[in-house]
Amino acid sequence: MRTAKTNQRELAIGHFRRRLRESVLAYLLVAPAFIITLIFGIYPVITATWESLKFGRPITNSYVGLDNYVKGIGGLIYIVLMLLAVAFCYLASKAWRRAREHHQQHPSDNLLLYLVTSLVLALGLIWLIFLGITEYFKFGPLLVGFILVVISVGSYTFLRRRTEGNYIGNTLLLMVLTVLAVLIVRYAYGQMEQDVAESREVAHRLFNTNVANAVPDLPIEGARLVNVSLDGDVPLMATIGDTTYDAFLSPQAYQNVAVDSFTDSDITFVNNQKVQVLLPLAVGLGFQPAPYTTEAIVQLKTNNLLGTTENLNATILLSENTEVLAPFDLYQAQDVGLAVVTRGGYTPPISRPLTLALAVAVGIGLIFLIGSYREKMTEDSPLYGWSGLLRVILALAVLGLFMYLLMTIQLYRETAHGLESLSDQQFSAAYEYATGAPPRATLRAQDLAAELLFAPQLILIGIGMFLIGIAYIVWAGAQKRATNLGLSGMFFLALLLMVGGWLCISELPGTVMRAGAPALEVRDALVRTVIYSMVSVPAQLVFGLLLAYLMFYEVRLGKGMFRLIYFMPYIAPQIATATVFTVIFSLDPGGLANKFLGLFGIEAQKWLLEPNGLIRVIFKEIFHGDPNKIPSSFEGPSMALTTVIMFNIWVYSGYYAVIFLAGLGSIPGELYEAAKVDGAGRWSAFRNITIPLLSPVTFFLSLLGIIGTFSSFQSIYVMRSGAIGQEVDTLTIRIFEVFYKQNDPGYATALAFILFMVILILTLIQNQLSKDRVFYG
Amino acid sequence: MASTTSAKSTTAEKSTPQKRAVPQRPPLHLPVATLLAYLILTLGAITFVMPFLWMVSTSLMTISEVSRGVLVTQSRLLGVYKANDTELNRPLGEYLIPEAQIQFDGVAISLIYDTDPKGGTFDIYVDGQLVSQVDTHSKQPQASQTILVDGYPNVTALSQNMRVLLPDGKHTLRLLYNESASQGNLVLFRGLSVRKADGTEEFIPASLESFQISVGRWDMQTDAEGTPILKSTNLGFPEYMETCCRSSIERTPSLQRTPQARYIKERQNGGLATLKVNLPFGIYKADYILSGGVSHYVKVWTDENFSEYFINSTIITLMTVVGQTFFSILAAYAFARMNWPGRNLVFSIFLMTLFIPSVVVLIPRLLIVTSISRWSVEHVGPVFESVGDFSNSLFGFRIITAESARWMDNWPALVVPFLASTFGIFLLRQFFMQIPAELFDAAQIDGAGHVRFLFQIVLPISRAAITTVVLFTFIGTWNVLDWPILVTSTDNWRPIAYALYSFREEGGSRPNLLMAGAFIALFPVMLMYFIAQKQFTEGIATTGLKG
Repeated sequence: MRTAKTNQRELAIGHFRRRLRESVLAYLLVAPAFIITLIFGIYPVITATWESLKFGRPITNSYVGLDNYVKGIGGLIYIVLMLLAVAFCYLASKAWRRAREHHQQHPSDNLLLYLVTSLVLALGLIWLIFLGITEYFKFGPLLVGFILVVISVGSYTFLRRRTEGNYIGNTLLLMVLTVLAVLIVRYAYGQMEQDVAESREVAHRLFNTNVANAVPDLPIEGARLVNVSLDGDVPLMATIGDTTYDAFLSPQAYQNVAVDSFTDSDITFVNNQKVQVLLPLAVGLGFQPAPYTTEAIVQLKTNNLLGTTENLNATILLSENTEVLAPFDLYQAQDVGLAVVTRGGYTPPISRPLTLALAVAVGIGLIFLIGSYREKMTEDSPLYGWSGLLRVILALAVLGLFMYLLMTIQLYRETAHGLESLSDQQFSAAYEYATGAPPRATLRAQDLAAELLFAPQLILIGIGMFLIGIAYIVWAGAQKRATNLGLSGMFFLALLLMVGGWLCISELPGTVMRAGAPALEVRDALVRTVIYSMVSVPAQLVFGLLLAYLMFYEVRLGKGMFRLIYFMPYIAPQIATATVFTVIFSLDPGGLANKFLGLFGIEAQKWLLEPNGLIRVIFKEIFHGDPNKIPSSFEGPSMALTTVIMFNIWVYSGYYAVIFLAGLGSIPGELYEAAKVDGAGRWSAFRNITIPLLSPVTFFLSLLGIIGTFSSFQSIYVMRSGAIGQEVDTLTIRIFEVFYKQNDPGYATALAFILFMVILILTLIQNQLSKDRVFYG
Repeated sequence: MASTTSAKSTTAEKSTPQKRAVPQRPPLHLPVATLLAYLILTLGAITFVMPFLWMVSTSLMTISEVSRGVLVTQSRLLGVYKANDTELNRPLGEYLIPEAQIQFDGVAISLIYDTDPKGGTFDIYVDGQLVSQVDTHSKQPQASQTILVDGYPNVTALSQNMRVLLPDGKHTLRLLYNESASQGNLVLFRGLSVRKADGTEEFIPASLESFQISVGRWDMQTDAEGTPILKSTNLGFPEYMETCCRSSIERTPSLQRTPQARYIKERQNGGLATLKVNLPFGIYKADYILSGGVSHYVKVWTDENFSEYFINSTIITLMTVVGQTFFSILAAYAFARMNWPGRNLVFSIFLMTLFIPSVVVLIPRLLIVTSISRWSVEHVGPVFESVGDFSNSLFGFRIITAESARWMDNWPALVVPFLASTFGIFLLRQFFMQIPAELFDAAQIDGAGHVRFLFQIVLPISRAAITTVVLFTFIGTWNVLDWPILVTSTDNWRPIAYALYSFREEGGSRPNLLMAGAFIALFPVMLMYFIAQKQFTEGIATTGLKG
């Protein structure tokens, strides 16, 4: 017996040793790949969250909070954060419910201690992760985090011995989510307050009667005298030191002359009049600065009042810069809004509308609470009457608060409208007049206006959701009403609430629209990405399936050759094939694509350099209509984008076909035979057997296609050209450009996260949609 | 071993009847349908092949043929000219480098030129020595640059005011204009202002008499009264562009308006200017001048440095493929056939990376590589320096040098981050998992451990899967553009994808050369594909589905 036992023990030890050896070997095998993936694949994503909150170049950057996101998607980021917090709360409440259910089986356990311990652990973990992300590796803070973790782990082991049930998972989840939600809300509130504070300050400075009535003298910039033509080369003599040089000014140099180059721009030119011309820098002999003054007789062409052109001779006096000053009316009080100006641009701090909104929500909740208690009471209970009265008073108070809230929001809106009505020039002039210093280059009235509206938008959307929720409750409660009048009244109320809710939520698109130029850029890029993806992926699926079907069922000979050819575009380096496409789709009438169009008698197109929409181009070329008759919202994707899409379809259709081919091979042939016995035709067999059985392949391909098109880079980057601006830039390209050309890694990373979010949401939606429709054999 | 063979045979037996049970196609077809199918498939095949054929065809055309839009070149494919002085006085059109050579005697020259918004540079040689490079990029319309020449060759400063000291007497000045990035750049070289030793100054305008300007496909001269006319006759190669230019004269009214038409901006169909202005002809050092279609490949390979880029790409790709495949095999084996705690967790971490778009990782990864590079130069660099000069050792050639500690703009930045690939691990793991367990048991009874089993049994039988991984890694690495753009700053390690990209950016008006470059970039991959196309299609068809 004893030997058997030792044998067993030795066996167990040997087994353990073997397992240990195997594990160590496995770790060694995985280690290289894992370390590299960790350093270059996972860790970048974690640091990216921190990086996206910074502004500036990598070494000198500084923390700016959510500014990058605000720049990219405007106030939407606050709504996203709010939804994120709500989602966390929801998940936390689910975890809490699970813990409660578990607790009910073991009522003697003390759940509170678990909660406290989990809170400590959650705080410790979040603190440590925060330190890791921000790379703040100091001894003290790290020690605090580790102490919290150690305390809570010790407390867990202690609690596990004392209690019957296990609540660690659920309570920890609950606490982590709750703490995260609280942190997000706190962070977002702080950020929003900071954003709004500047806007409030600026509005307060700009909008008052002093500034509105002021008419300061300001230099006129950007005004130009056009069609100034010099009569041939202008010879100049320039003396530098004690040497004199010849120089020639080209006539082209003065096609357009800035008005501030002329001392008196508003008087009519007469023959031989002396005017001063500001020499553009580096003109002349290239010495900096150019300290010479000389005269030259030139001919000036001006447009006179009759609209005809006059030739005038004038003497150009070359000299240093002069400024043209003119009185400038900063802004009209009527345009901004008289109320705003008389109020001095005052807006309350955002804590006020947020508190009001919270109060309204709490008040409505109270009304419902009283209602539910009241239903349980009998009518002769003394509290019955009082509670009814209380409810009415509460309802009136809520209504009053709500009106007050709307008024507060109206203040913001009016001020924002005032800011929006200022042009850039007006804004910077007024700013300089009011504060004494010019605004910094990135400060724009539009952005300030958008920032002022962050809180109102957030509140309105929140209220909208709340109202719809209430409408649902009222709708559900309406059935209990005894009288027809009561019933219809309740329905009407529900309807009203619903409409009100949707009206509030309809603020959402406005949030996206009302944003600065970068956000509009991002939106356009995103729209292009969506078009790029939503056109190419279905087209690839259709072409791929068609080719695969024909190859599989209709063709006996040459299948291998077709497959070889169809796969070629996918294999070939896209950088090379995209280059070939740029030549094929060149604007040259001799290009292959234009020659092909020529076969049908269509004029040569500009393809990759055509910013006009596809529908416009077709309307012009095929129906010979006026392309401007097509409104820009209906013009479709630009011709350039279409060409890029065609390239993508060309590359991937063959790949799709090959994969469909493999999928078709795995469909059992008996099904077709059975269908034939049942008298099904070819189409119905295709419709009812092939398509459903291919659905996993289709799902896989479309998922791959959407992720692929959303992060597609190489081919578009090769095919785009600066000549037509951002017409084919998808979001990926914009991110790269922002990073590479504008050297703004923080903003680029923020955009990358936005793209990531969009892809994630699309994938989730697709997953949900295909749940019922994908048939896994 | 007996058990392994039986396992094999059973799997073979299992699989064959299954295959037989799947009829490849339902019987009975109308010939019309088959014909139609062939028609559609052939049309599809033509669409898929056409760009490749067009690429080869275009690469052999002359510029004029490209813009005329012929399908196949009619000019000869290769011509070799012996370069002698008499021939060299003729401008040779697209084949020659824009260059000017002027004799002058003086002590100071000023170069007067129109600026080029896209940017380009003048290389200025005095008596065969490069004295200066002038950047023509500026927002101002015109600029000039003065070189004071007295007391040569003592170059004192190459700043805004370049001073080159040169003894009195006759000197040759050679100007070489490096064209700028994009189409339609219009650089005007207006002339030279020469200050002589006796103090007098002379302006030598770059008139049409003293410099011949070949304007892209056109050539321009003035008649006796100074009115510009376009001629296409003296452009070197006789077949060079005739019809196109003649018909375009009417379309450029601005030509007549300008007092001295020094350049023409051609507008075709309202499109962009497709001309580039070549600066004056000059003297060419080459002994032979190649012409014809094949010479485009030679020109791209040598003049455009595609040979260097090609070698760079080859080295980078080979290193990445070998490293990545090796590490993927190891990791995939550990995931597929070994039991160890944490396996699922680690695997799900790997899987997570599949869902992260590369652009999210791109920027922080660059920051990480930059800081690694900085750290490495500081701490590893001294080690390399202490070892000494590597340039004589066998692989010392470029891969290990004294500068290898630096990651940025060097091969480590291009290779190391890509040594692990989730895709490869996933694909190989799927394949390794299909290997019957009996095989391992048998090997274990025969005394083989995991490592021997992996290298002696698993690797040989999974050649197909490994080939697929190798091929896709190869293509991916060969094709990548965004990362090299970010981590390289010199041509030392730039891959061919970058070369092609930048060549496209600047070579818009030379589609034939561009296509030759594209062919060079495409060739190795297509060669591999045609050799191993079975592994490609089947690897994708069987494993791609499961991914």
